[in-house]
Amino acid sequence: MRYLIVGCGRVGSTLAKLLDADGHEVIVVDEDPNAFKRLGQKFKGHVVVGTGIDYDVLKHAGAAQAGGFIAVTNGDNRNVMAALIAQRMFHIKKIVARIYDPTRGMMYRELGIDTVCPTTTGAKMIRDVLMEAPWDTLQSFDFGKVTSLTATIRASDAGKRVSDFERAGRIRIAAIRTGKSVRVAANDTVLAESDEINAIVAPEAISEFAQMFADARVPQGVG
Amino acid sequence: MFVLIVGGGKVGSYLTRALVAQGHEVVIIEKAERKARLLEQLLERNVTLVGDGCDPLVLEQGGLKRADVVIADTGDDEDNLVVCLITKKNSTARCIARVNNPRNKLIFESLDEQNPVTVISSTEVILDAIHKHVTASV
Repeated sequence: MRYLIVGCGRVGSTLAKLLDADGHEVIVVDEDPNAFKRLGQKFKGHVVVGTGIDYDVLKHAGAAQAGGFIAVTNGDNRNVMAALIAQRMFHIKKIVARIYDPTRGMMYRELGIDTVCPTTTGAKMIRDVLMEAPWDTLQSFDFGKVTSLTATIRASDAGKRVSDFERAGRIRIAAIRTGKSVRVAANDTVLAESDEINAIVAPEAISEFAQMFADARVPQGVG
Repeated sequence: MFVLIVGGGKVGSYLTRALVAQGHEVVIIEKAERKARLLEQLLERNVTLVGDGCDPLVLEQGGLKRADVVIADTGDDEDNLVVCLITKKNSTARCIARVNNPRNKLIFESLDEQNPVTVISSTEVILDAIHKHVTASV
């Protein structure tokens, strides 16, 4: 598939190298020709010098045949504008824009643009490291309003039921993994040691959840 | 009428001065504090708000909800586009935007088909004038 990346900063260049290594056709657009140095020697894709918010530049870059479009310049406004040009003038199917402002990120999602907000994600990752979080953050809905987490059942908790870990309106266990098999949780499902649970947790219940599963896993580096 | 202007450059300043003289209520949002102060001196009135006009909270503070007209006239198309996006989302005000790249007009116009953004491209205006001049002299 052809991917068009606007912005060759740290994220843009890293993503370009990943997609290129996966065998995709990658085209990177940046105003600054020096930025392409970040792509390194092995990069087999193409580069185009120019602004990503110009129809002609994007057309020249091959936007018309692109299956995916990623806007990762250092300006939120430029990213949303590039994404709208990709969506409305080139009809590209998959469009992702990096937006640092969570409020505006949410608004842009209503326009049909997938947004990634490193502010919320980064802050949450740092918080998880600080709290020596005994979970993995799977997904965050609506920029941190609700989080999907996984945690592992300790020996001391074996035999407890799903309902023992749930808190009405704050913590809901959705699924349980035992070895390779995954099932949807029921209130009376009995948990065994090293079962992995997938929970949906409200922000105010994160500390409570952390205490329930404290010491379940040694703290680890993120990223 | 209550007019909210984003961008206190030359266009914004003279526009504010003219609108105030016509008796309209105006608030102008400008990011650079120094520019905002100069503007206040020029207008002899306190109608400036220092802040990023692309921030929904700043626009709200400027009175977006009760604005009759919002004018996005910063020098950057992407900033003007975001002002229009937020305006369309949070108010019923009429939206007027300045664009530099005439190609970008379509994007602005696509934001709201029922009540489209009025897009003004000085590049196009000048091109039109040249075109008329050339055709007139042939």
